[in-house]
Amino acid sequence: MENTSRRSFIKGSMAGAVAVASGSFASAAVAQQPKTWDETVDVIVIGSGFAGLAAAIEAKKAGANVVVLEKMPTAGGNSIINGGILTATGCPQQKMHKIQDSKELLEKDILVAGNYMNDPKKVRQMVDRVLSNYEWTVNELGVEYLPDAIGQEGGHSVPRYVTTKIGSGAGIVNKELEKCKEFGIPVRTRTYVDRIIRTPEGVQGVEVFEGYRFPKAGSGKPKSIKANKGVVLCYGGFSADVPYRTIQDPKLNATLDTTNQPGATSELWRETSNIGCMQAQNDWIQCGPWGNPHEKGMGIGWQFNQTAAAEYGLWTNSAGKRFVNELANRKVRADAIMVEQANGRKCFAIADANGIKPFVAQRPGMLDKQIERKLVMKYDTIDDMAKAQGIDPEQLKKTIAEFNGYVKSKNDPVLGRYINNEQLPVETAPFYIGELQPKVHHSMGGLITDDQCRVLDVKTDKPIKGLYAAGEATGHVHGAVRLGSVAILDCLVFGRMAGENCAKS
Amino acid sequence: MLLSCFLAVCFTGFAQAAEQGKFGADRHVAKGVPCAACHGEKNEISAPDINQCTKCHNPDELVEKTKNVKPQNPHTSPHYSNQLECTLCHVQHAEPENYCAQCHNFDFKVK
Repeated sequence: MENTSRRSFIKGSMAGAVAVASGSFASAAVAQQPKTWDETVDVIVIGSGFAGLAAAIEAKKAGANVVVLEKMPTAGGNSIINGGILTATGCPQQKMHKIQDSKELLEKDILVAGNYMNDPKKVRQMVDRVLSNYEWTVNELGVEYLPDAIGQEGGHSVPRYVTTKIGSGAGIVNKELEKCKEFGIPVRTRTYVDRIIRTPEGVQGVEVFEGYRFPKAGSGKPKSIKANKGVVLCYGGFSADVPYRTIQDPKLNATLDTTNQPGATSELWRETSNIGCMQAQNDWIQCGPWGNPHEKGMGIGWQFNQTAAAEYGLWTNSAGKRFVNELANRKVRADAIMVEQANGRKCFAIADANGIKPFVAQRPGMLDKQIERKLVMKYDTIDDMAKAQGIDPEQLKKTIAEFNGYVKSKNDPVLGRYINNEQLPVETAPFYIGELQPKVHHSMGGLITDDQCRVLDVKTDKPIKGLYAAGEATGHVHGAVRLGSVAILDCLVFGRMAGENCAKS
Repeated sequence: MLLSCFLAVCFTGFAQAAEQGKFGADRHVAKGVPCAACHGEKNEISAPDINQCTKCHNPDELVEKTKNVKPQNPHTSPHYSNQLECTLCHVQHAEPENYCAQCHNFDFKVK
C-alpha cells in the first residue's frame, strides 16, 4: 500500500519535471500595462553605474534611442564611489613588473574563490574579454590608469589589477558619463522605477516617479515609459538595505556598516522577483575585510589596510598573532576577522617604512590624510605600536620575525600567503598600523541570465523577451565569493553585451 | 488630488521659509537677488541645477576658498570633482544638508 502510493508520487513528480522541461507550463506573473504610455524609447537602462552606462553606450552605438534612469540625485551609483581597481590580465603594467599571468589562471582563481558555484560559461565569457575590456576603457573612454602600478587583491594568484589615476571608480564612470553626453544619451537622475511592466509577450516598459526624493517612498510624479526593444537591468546590489540583506543572511544585521552608497537598496530585487525573474544565490553577500572601524562607509582607511599591509605587510590580532592569509579571498578574511572579534580580539593591519612604499607611490598624499584622520597610526618601534594599540608586544615581535623568515624563503608554510616579488622584511621604522572591520560590500547573487544577458523566467528557464541584465544585479558570475577588482570587469563586459544585444533584438 | 497636496506642501514650505527668514533663498533675496535669477523670468525652472548656480558662483573659486577645510575640501571630491549639484547641500527653501555625511564622517557646517 505504502509502496504503491510512493511509486505513484514518483511517477507524478517525474511527469511534472518533463512538463517544465518541455515548456508547457505558463511563464510567470504578468501585469496590467498602462492604457497609454507617456513616452516611448527603444531601450531603457535602469541604473547609472559601470554596467548601466556601458549598456547605454553600446545600445546607442547599435542605433537605439536610449534613456538611463537613476533614482538617486547623482549619477554613478555605487560605481562612482568604488575603489577604482580593475583586473587587467595581459596589461602593460603587468609586463613592466614581469608578472606571468594568463586568462586560464584568472579563470581558475575566479572559480576557486567562487567555490565553483559560478556558471563556468559566464566566467569564460568574462575572462575572454579581460584585455579587450581594459583597452576599451583606455582607447574608447579615455580612462587614465597609474602607468606603472600593478596590484593584487586577495584570492588572486598574481598581481593583476590596475588603478585609476584618481583612485576611484569615478575615473571610469565620469568618462562613461562624458561619452553618454557626447552621444546625447539622457541620464535622468531622481527617477525611481516603481514597476516593470511584463505581459505574456514580454517586458513592455516601466512605470516611474520623476523628481523622486530618495528615500521618500512615493515622492515625485508618476510616468510610464515604453521600451520598443527592451529594458536593461543594471540596478546594482543591496548592501545598504538592512532588512533585505538580513532576510538573506541574518548575521548581516544593522550592527554592520556598509561600504555602499545609501541607494544600494532592494526594491528592484523585489520587483524582479515579483514579475517572475529567476534569481539565485542572493544570500552570498560579501563583506570587505579591509574596512576601518574609525570612519563611515568605504572611506579611505581600506587603502592602507589592503594596498600597504595585506600586500606588503601583515595582519595580526590583538594577541599579536597572524590569524589569516592576508591575501586570501575576501570572505575567508572577513569571516576570520569576525571570529577574532567574537572572541574579544581586535584585528590590525601593519606595514613598515618599506611596505608602504608602493602604496605611497600609487596614492601620493593618501597616507598623510589617513594619519591626519587617525585611521592609520605611526610609531618608531614595534613595542610602542603594540603598547599603544593593546597588542601583546612580545608575541607581535615574534610573529613579525617569523613572517620575515617567510619573506626571505619566499614561502609562508603556515598560512600560504603569496610573497610578492618586491616584498622586503618588515623591520624598518617607522611602523604603521590600522584597525580592520568587515563592512557589507557586494551582492554576489542575483538575476540569472543566458549567454546573451537575457533574464530567465522563473517557471520556464527561458529568456523573458525584452529583459536584459548585467552587473551586480546579476548572479552566477562570481559564485560564492567575488574576487576584488573583478567587479568592474564584470560590469563593463556584461553591461556592454546586454546593451548591444538589447538594441539589436 | 495629488497635485493639490503637492502644492499645499510647497506653499507651506515657502510660507515657513519667509517667516523664519533663515534659508538660503532668503539670504539671496536679502542681497537683492530676485527669484527669477534662479527660477527664470517666467518661473519656468522649478528645480534649478548647477547650471543656474554657476551663472554667479564660480566652482573653481569655491574650491579655492574652502581648500583648508578639514578633513576634506567640501567643494571637490574624487567622485564628482567640483560638479556635484549645489542644492544637494545648499538647499534653498528648507534646512541645508550635509550630503557627504551619508557616507563620510565629515562634519561640514553647511549654510
